[in-house]
Amino acid sequence: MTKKIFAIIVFTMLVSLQTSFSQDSPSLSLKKLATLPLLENGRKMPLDTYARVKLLQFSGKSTFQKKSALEWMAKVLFNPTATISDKIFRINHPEVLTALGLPEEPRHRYNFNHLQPVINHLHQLAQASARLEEKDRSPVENELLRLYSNINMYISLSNTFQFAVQHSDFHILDPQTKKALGLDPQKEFFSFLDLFLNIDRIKSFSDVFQMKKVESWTAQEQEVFQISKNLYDWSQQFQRTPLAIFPSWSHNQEMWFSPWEALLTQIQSPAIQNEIIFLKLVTLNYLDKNQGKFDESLGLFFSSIQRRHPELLRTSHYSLEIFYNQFDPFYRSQFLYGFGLISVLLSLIFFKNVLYRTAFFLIAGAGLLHLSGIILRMIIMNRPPITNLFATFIYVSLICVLLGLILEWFNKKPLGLLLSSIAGLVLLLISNRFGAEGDSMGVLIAVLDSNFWLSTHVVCITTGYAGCCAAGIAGHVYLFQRLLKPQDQENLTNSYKAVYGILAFGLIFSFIGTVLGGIWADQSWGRFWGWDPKENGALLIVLWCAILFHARMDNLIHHLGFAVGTIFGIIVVMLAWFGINLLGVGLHSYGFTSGVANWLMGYIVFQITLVLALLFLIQRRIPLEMPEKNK
Amino acid sequence: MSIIQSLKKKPLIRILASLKTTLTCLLLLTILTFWGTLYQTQHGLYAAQHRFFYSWFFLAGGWFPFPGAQGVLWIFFINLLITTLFRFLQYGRKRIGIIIIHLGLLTFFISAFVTFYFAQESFLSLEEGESSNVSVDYHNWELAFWKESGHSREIHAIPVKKMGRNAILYLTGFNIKFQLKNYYTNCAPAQDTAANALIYNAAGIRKLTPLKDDPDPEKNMAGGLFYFPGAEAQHQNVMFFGGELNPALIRIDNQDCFIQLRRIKYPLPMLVKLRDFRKQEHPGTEIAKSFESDVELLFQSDLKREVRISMNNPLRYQNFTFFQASFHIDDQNQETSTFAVVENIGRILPYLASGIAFTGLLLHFISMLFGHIKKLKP
Repeated sequence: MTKKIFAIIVFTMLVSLQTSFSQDSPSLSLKKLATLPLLENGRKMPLDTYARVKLLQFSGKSTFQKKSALEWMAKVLFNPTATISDKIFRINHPEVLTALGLPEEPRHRYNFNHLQPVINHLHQLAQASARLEEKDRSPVENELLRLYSNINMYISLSNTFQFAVQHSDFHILDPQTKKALGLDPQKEFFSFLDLFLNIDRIKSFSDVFQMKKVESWTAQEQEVFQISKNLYDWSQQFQRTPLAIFPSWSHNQEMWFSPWEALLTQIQSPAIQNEIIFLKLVTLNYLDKNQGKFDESLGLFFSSIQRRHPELLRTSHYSLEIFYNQFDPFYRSQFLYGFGLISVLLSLIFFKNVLYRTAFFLIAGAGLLHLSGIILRMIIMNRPPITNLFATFIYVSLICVLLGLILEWFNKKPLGLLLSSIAGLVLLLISNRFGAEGDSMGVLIAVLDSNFWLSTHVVCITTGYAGCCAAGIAGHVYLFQRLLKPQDQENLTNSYKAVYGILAFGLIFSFIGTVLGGIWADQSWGRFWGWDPKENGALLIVLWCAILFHARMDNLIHHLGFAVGTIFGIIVVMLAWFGINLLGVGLHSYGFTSGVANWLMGYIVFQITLVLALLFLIQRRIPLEMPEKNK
Repeated sequence: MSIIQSLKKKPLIRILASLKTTLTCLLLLTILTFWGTLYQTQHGLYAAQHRFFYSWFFLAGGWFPFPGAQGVLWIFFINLLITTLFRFLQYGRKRIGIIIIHLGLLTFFISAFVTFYFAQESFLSLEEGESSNVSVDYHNWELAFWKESGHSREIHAIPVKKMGRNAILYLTGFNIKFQLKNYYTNCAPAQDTAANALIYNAAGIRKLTPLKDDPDPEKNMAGGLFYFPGAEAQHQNVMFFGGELNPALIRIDNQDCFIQLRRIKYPLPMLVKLRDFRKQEHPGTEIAKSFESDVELLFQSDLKREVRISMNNPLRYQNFTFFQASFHIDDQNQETSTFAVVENIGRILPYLASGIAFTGLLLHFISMLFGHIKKLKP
């Protein structure tokens, strides 16, 4: 019976999780489009990733109305008018709404229609913000800049394939004009591309425009002049659109062009001309919802690019990256950690065995998903697990989860499960904030471009962070146990031993990581130690752990003091981990962050208050010098 | 054992070997590290290093003496040395892992002291095609004297740090007496028509305005007033400014002498020529993917060697190490590569210390593992 209940609970949770991620089937399959390779910030990525990154930047979510980011991106690219009512612009600060005179909308999300009337005002405010030094900008000014940049990006994206569709700017009525320009006599409206491909015929009118007075121009000449003016305006307006999908070699350097750049500067190449025509067909077939022709024209585009530059398009990882995007292992893990935490907490009250086992399997399952996510990232990037701040969070949370599970395996008390689920859930939730800042697999600057040091020093020091954080979380559990069940000495001693062991683990890895960091610094900059803020941060962790162990050895602190020390250890880790980056000085400028200072201060105040409150309550209940002395 | 017991009874040894001393040192180091890190945001790394980490003590808030890291580390070193020795004599093989870890820490301290007292950090900036056999100090200045203006010349130099204010100094090789009257670590030339006309300067500077030291000491430009009693009347009071390109030509005791205030130059064991500098960026961005320099080394024995120096791949020769530090590309596309040059006789010590500490960790884990296995046996 117990087993059945256990199986039902796990099954229900997994099914509900699956259902929450299921998506409506799109009207047009974008499977092939997802693999379109492009270059963004120096990294080659599939369009699927690009779409997610942009949607995350705009709205803070990787899906829109339960549809994938790619579906939304395809609409923006090929049929932008259909997206002007999509509420994708998240405004995080209420003062931005006041400054722009916008009403409050549910979930703080706005569409282009809302924002269009205030774009000029936003432009002025953003320009004023941009004039300030980055360190002097307030959160409101940063938010104004972010919103302005997002709207500009949206407008640029929506113009990316506009060269392929007919437009009223290229409306030609006169059959003679159409004939003179070599255009289809049956059509009245043309696209930019239709005319640009016949640019030589338009140029042939230039003598007329120069020699003849405007008043003496014929109707046909006036029409051609208007067309050529519109062509010029469009080419000026859209020459800097994004989406670099045309790879090329120039002056021994790899360069990628957007469709507009390729059209305006590379059209003399027959291959590129064909590719642009294929893109036109892709656009038109998307609008016609013609799956077969859409895929066929995309296939032609891919094949042509592949023929031109096979060395630039080794796309074997793209499918894996798309799988990683759609699988979204960290998002799923968060749910499982959350369910696991609820189960383990409920197991303390009722259905002890069933809920305990449920929690164990949920958390172990989440850990597996989490691990698989990290492995996928390593394969896609061909890098060790940690390359940026986002990766440190997912790595530290995994190590905490593993430490908790190992502890649980030996201890069979819920301490390990509590540690795993809390660390997994909280740290992954924090990682979402950094994940939403952009591409989480970005390129590395020259000094970090060393897989050897990334896989030794960075992994060790981050494992050290994890050990100290895990000890701190276990320290919290010890304090609550001490408050709620002070008479359970066996349990308390076990918890203390766990805290001690995990902190020793953290100290060893922090120490090894710090030493390896010194060796890397000696290799890169010529000195083992330079008192750089990040080095100091690592040293602070080692010093803090050493203080706790030596104070314990000298009996200056006992079990409770040690547990409290590990909790303050989390603060030390936070300061070393990303607090140091807030200082904005030192050689480790790769991880500078903004906007987390208040969050960090809030956390420190909360942590100190919580510990003081717990100590007060514990002391009221039992004197601090419990019979642990001399243990 | 009896020696240990008798030593332990000595109050000074007891204090120095106590865990409370260890804890005090650890706490002080924690405070200094935290405080020194925050201090960097306003005053820069160099100022923080000198105030908190290289000092024996400093005045906190301008009046309260607080121990600096150098003092704390020396006490910590003695504490660690005595306790490690006691433990080794007391426990022998039983805690060999822990003892070796502490021996590793002691070696780290020795390495830090050797580096602090003997290592020399400087830089070498070369344009493509340019060569040099001297590197330049980042912070310290010297007054350099030479007689010939040709390609090869004998230069005598005295670091400004070693000159006492108003003390008469005597440059033996050149038979020149001089006196430092006024000196600024950072200053700027000022226009002052009312300034003393008896002051001589090669570039026509008559007055220097002292400036606050820049957090980045490489940006500081030193300057000062020097007195040459043996010089002709109009050349007796000479003002030097670090930003001057040309030396002052002064006639002292019937001989012409070139004098210049410049950053201290250190001789290198070879001539270094920059053949080519390359910078690679991630496509479509300005993010540097790699930068590297091809240099040619010409030794006194006429032996030539070509070497590539890049990020994470320095050139090592004797006690010298050359690191690819930075670069500059000017408007004419002329590329300049800058190398950090470190001369350190204790270069190998941190590696030795790391090896000892890691061996200690390994031994400790092995002994713990055997301990657990023993416990498991019936």
